[in-house]
Formats: sequence, structure tokens, C-alpha cells
Amino acid sequence: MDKSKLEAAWPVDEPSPDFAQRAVLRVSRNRARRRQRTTAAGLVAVAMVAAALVVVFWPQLLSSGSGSTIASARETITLSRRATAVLEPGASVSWRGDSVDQPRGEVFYRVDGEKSFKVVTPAGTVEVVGTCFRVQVGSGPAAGGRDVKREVLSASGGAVLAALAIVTVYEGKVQLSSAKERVTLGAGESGRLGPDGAKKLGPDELARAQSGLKGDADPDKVDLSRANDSLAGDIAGLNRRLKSLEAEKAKLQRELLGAETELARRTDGKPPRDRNEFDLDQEDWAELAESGTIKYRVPCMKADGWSPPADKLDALGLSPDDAESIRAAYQKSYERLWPGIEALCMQAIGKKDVVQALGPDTCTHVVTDAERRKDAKGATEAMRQLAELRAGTRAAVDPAVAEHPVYKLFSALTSEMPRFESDLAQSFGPAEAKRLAYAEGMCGARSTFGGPGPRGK
Amino acid sequence: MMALPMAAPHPEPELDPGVLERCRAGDPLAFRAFVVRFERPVFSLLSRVLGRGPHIDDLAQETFIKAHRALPGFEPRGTAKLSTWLYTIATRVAIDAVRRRRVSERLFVQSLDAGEHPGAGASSSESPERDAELRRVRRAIAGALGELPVDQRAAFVLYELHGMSLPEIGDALKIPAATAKTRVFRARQKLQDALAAYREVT
Repeated sequence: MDKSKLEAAWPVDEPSPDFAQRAVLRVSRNRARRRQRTTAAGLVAVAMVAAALVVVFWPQLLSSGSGSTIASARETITLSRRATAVLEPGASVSWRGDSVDQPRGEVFYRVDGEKSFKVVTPAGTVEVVGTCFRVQVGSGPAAGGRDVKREVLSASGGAVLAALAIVTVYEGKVQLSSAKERVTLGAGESGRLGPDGAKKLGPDELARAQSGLKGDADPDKVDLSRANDSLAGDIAGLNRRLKSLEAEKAKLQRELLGAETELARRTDGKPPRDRNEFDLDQEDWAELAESGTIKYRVPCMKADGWSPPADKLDALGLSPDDAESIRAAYQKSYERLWPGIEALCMQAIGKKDVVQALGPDTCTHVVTDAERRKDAKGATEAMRQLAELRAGTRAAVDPAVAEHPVYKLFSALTSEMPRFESDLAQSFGPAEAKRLAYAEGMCGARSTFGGPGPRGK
Repeated sequence: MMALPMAAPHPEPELDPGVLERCRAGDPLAFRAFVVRFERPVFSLLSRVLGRGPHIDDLAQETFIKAHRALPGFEPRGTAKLSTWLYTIATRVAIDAVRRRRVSERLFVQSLDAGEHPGAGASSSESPERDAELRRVRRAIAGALGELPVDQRAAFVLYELHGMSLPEIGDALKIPAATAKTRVFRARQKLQDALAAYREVT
């Protein structure tokens, strides 16, 4: 058996006339859905990442409310919203809000903000406001050979000591207070608080005081000046990190806000469309004009008109008497559209019997396809200018476009629904006419002819 | 086993290169032209592999949607013809539909059994004798090819009616070309035997 005989004996299904158009529509819809899904997924991902990062970083900025630690090595901790402490090995602190208990060891504090911040030591309480300082708590030989008694220090930028305390200020001001006197230290200054009261220390006195200080926390205390240098580096690093985290937080919050706004806009934020998707206003046309797309719905074109069968009339909420008004409106629509489409189809095909056999819907596609084959650029321009005209962004189409068959065809098709509505309105009133014109039970054809995309692309 | 040529001759371009290029770039007008160009052969292929019915429209749509997604990756200057590439997609859609039980294999026999499927018995023959002969041949095809698994029937259809070479069929069905050759041969043999039996009866 040869191929032709086999083909003849083996029947196949034929594609329906609108198969290609449906395929194009499905592809467009899928692509739009994919794009929307991708965008939404992207936005959700950005929102989730932003939220996660805020969750991760926020505690570092805000700190936990309370806690305690004993440093086995140099350790940096965030004590509250505005205080950071660097603990030397052996130092111990516990904190709750803006109050820190430092029973022993050497701790550097960085405090931001205007509010009071307290460090409680065995010797008393230090109140600080916005500064950087170091507190070394230990014991030393008391003046006059007696042990150091507990003192309470009050600092406007802060420090504390117990039996003997050496305070070094890096930024701002610190006030050392004893029962006997008060001393204010500025940035770069050091002071000593002991049984003989509070006093400023010069460089030589500082070195002597530090060498005489017995650190409770670190028996193997090493060169302090080297440690100070290292600590200064840590401070600078901490400051940079804080600033960077703050900037990062602000950026993430902006992104989160933007993502949430966009999500709201794409979902519930947008008011639902209250018209049929083919009932187009200027805004719809403006959107279509961007891609040069033409979209329309037209009543079924039948020479004798069309009226809904009894069950559809009932479903539409109409009485049998309404059938004739509807039929007449369909007939008028046919009489308006078909002669123009027929003439254009004749130009494209040249045989009247073929044109008659094809009918309005197929002729529409035939004319469009023929013109696109003949002059794709002209057909595209005709579609785009018509969409712009409907959008109100163009006062009139170019004279050459006005004569283009594609323009004539789509101009007639896209202007038909208002006329059809107007005919229906004579019997049903404008609101009911609008409802009926786009109702599901009515006979109509919907088409979308995709454009080439934005101008210049 | 009778000799089967391993490669079919390459004809001229099946779609205007400019249209194909625009199609690959995602132009919907060009894609429409692509669908119009190939919708009939895709319908034929699916109908003959699966049997006629409303499922063919659905599966043809699926074929073109998959083709649209894959078109940017199609290499026009490559060795594969556009039609071969598309038929490969359609064949896989058909086989997948059977494997996922979206389409029953029995449809194939039913749709070829003249008079039982709406429209299947309709023919434009000039005489009752010709109608009778067509019905007999259809029964022969249904009897012979209906017993074959869908992928074997696909191999036969692609080779005999869509001009695909055995290596191309092998690629489409993910089997060696030699296996494709065996499947085509067996299907052809079955059909010839069935038709011979009918000739003997009549």
C-alpha cells in the first residue's frame, strides 16, 4: 500500500478555523501568567529575604533584653539598643536593659544616645551618657596603707571602679565622682578613683597606676598600651559595623516596603475591573497601543440577525417578547459590518463565492493575514495607529493608514459594540443594553490580534 | 527484513526564515503563521497515533505551546528540519498522554472502526463500492496497528506518513535507530498481513 492510499484510508481530524488564534492566545496568556508568577515570586522572595535579614540583623542592632557572660577570650557583645561592650578574657558582665553588672575584669563600653546607661560594679554604680570608655576594676595599694573602700562613681559619659579603678576616655566626657570630689575627664584623658578620691592622671601617672593595678580578671595581664591600640582598632571596626548594619537595615526596610506595595498593587490593592474585558475604555486602549494590539468583541454576523432561544432568554432575564428587538439589533450589526468586510475579503481573495463561503469571521483573518504577508510593516502601523486613536493619544491616523485595509477592517470591528449597544438601548435602555451586549448568553465573537510590541523595538 | 532507507532527503525551508526568526524572538504574529503552517500535519500525526476525537485539539494546542517555549532553542541552521523537530514534540505529547492515561489506546481502534466514531465513516467517495473498500481498509489498519503499543505505532506513522528518517525517529522516541527500524518494519508487516487477509476474504 502506498502513502497516498494509506492516507486516504486513514482519516484524521482537521483543525478548526480558529485553532491558530486560540493557540496564540493561550501562549500569550501563559506567558503573561508566567511573567506575573515570576514577578510575584520575585517580589515574595525579596520580601522574605528582606524580612529574614531584618530578623537576623535586627537583634544585633537592638540586642536582646537581658543576658550574662564570662569572657574566655576577647568577646564583643551587644548589651542593649545602644551599648556595645568588648570584654577582655576573664571579664564578667550581666545586663538587663540599660543596666550592666560588672563584678570583675576589664571592659570597654561604647554607648550611644542621650539616656542614662548604668554599669554597676562591686564598688558602686557608674552612669554614662553617650561615650566610649574603659573600666579596669581591680585593687591596689591604698593611700596611707589602707585598703580601698567602695566608692560610687557618677559619670556623664562614664566609668566605674571598685576598690581601685582606672578609667580611660576615648570619646565624649566622663565624670568620676567619689565621696570627696568629682573629676571630669575628656576624650584622651585618664583618671584614677581610689581611697584618696578622684583625680586626673598624666601619662606617667597612668603608666604607674596601671602597673600597680592588680587585675582580678586577668592574672597574666600583658602590655596595656598594646592592648589599648588593639582595642582602638576594635572600636573603629565596631563603629563601622554598626553604621553598615544600620544602613543595611534601612535599605531592607525600604525594599520590604516597596515589595509589599507592589504585591498589594498586583493583587488586592488593585480595584477589580467592573467591566467586561472586551468593553474597552481609553485606558485599556492606551495599554493595547503600547504593543500595537487590537482587541474587540462583535455581535455574531448573521444576515437575518440572531435571537436567543427561549432558555437563554430566560437565563438573561428577558421575556419572549424581547427576542425580536435583539434579533433586529443583530441584523443591523450584520448590515453595518459585512459589506465592508466582504469588500476587503474580495480584494484579498477575488472570488465572491469563496468569500461568501468563508463568512465574516474567517474573512477577517484572511484579510489580516493577506495584508500582513503583503505589507507587514504597513499592517502593523495601521493596527498601532488605530489603537492610539482609540486611546485618545492620536488625533487622527496618517492618510496612508486611513486607506489601509487592515485599518478599515479593525476600525469597523472595534467601533461596532457601541453601535450595537445603542440599537439595544432603544428597547432596553442604556444600562441594560450594556449588560446584554456583553452577556454570556448572547452570540458574539471575540478576537485579539497581537501587535509587535513597543515602538522602536 | 526488508530494506528501509535510513535518511529522507532534505527539502527546501518549510517556513520563511524571517518568519521563523521572528517566531523564535516571540513575535505572536509570526507564531500564528507557524501554527497555520503546521496545524494540519500535527493534527494528522496525533489523530493517527492516538485515534480521532476531541482530545486531538487539546493535544495539538499542547504541542504548539511546548513548541513556542522551545522555539528560541531551535537552531534553524542545524541538521533538524523544523517539521521533524515539531513532530518530535507532538509524538512525545501523544505518548505522554497515553502513559498518563489522559487518552485511552482503545480510542485508536474505535475511531477507525467506520461508522462508530462520529464522522469517521463519512467519506467523499464516488460509489458504495469505494465506501466499502475504505471501510475494509480502515478495519485492516485498526486491526493491525491497534494491537501495537503507541510508541510502535508512532514510529510507523512518522516514517510512512511524515517522512522522518529512522535516526530522527530514534531521536524522537529516544530509542536507537535500529530499534526504530524494527518497529517500523513490524508495523508495516502487520499492516500488509492484515490487508492481504482482507483481500483474500473479499
